[in-house]
Amino acid sequence: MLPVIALEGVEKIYRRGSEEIHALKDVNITFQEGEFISIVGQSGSGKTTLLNIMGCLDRPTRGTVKIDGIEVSTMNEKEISRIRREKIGFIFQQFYLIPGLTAAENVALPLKFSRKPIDKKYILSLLDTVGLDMRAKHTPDQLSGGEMQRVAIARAIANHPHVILADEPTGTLDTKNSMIIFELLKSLNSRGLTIILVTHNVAFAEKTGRVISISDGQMNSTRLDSKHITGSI
Amino acid sequence: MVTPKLAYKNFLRQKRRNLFTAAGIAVSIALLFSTLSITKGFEKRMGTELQRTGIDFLIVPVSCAHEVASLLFYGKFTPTFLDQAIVEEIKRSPGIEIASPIIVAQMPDPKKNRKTLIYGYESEYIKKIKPDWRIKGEMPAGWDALRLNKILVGSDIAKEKGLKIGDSISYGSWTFLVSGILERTFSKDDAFIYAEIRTVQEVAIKTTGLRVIEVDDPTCVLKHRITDDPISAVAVKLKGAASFMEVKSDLTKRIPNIKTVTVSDAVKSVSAIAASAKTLSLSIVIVALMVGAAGIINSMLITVNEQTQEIGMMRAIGALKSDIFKMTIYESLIITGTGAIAGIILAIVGASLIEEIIGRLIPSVYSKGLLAFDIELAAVCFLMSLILGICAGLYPACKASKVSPVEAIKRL
Repeated sequence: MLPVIALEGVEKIYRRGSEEIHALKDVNITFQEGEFISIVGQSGSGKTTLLNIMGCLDRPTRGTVKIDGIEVSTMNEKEISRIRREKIGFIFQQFYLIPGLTAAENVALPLKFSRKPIDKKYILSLLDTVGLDMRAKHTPDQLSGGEMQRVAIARAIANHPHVILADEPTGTLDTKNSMIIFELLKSLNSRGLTIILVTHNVAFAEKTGRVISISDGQMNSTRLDSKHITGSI
Repeated sequence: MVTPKLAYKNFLRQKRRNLFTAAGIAVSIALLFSTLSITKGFEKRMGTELQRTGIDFLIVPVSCAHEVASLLFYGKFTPTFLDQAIVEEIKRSPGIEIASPIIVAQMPDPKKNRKTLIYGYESEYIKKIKPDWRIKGEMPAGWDALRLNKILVGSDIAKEKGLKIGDSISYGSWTFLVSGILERTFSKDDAFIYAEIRTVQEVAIKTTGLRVIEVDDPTCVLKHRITDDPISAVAVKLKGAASFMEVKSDLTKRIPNIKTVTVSDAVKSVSAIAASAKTLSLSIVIVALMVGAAGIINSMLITVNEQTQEIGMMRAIGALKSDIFKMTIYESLIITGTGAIAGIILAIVGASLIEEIIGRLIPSVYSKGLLAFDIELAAVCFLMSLILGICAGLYPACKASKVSPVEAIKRL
């Protein structure tokens, strides 16, 4: 079975003047379908860079990135946009809901960008999945932080992605709402969706199937569920 | 279609800023609509007036003949005069049915800080020269009219000054008695005063500061001659079968230093004046539109900057660069479209004020009632605003579409 995401010899170098910053160093790792993986590490360790490269938001300086067996690092902008639309769902720390749109309209955005017809029942079912079907017509300013993140989760799964990339989704939430979000992610994973979670919350990380620790752009350790660990460190 | 709705929502999010930007466009479009509407209305009206006029041509002093004739037709004091004695010479031409002198003088109107024009006609011919006139009261005629300084006032003057038949009105040292009020003609005639020719000749002589006026000598014995019977022009109506060319040839052979100007010639002259005014107005409109466009670019760049992270998110969830580009262009179009609709409404609502300004800027154009809603012009203005929206939105749209999702999200 093809891994959902496979990284081989991935390096990312940023240039600041004459200085080179190695954000990622020789990363080799695969993520299998149905996994729930957390990526932990200090600020500036390279977690988000890794997530951005896996999510086709950024390109590696060296190495290859395959999603569902398709090499994406050499694709053009249009093809990469299609991969992002069809195979990846993003959840950001800051939710990034469009203020003027209702919850339902925000959830429908990926479908619209995919030029797919909008089925209101389907949108409501997505909101129902995150427990917000009654708030479909509310705009972001009428929702709490936790609710906004739940809407962002519904948006992330709208296009039936193969993998969800969540970048510190509980980072700005209180404990209760953080728990709700984490349980939602677990619930999505239990339905077979691959989840890759970047988090600072050790308690949440320990509850995932695999933890990848990253420091200075290098993956240092993985834990649990050794059957899924196929990458080198 | 995802982007128009998103663009509309974006427009609403920055309502105040966008409405101010749209207001700039509204003023520009109001100017454009007014200019085009007034020009179109003016050309249409000139055609109508051409049909209405009961004369075939004017005889005017040879210098600047077309200007003098057009100013006579459309209302302006003319500084050159003929001697009334010429009229008898003209009448000798066999093809002429009517040859009636006309004079225009101007009187100071201190309350309005402007000059009011007074036209002098021979009362017996007025019905043939102005067949469509409907007069309440009577046209000043005879010695009684001269003695009492009787006048006929245009409907705009009567309305503006609240005049009724029998009222007196003073201009400088003259006091006139209103013997008649001209019913609304929807032409420049509504803005003038009319009297027996002799009454106006006296006004002309006194307002020029001379006892008598120097005129081109019709007999050519002397280069110039002094007259106390000045006239501005002679209105001529031909007999049914008479040929204008033959009459013209006869008159110019017998009477030197005159020129014949047909109504259509005069219309062309006024059209040329109006076209110059239109060019000037359109230049101002173009400057205003460019300022408006700069406002849109500025506003859209601020919006793009403020929404960089959202744009990054949209790119992350699959929006193409072209989606972002179109969304920005649509927002620009919404601003200019809103401005255009507001501008057209503004032009219609403020028509009387605009007409007043135009009337002061171009006195030879009678602007009242010219500015009216015209679907074709409204469509042209709306289309112009959309073109402006696209042009002004291009740079911000390029900038927005080039937003890198990673860089956008990093801006946290």
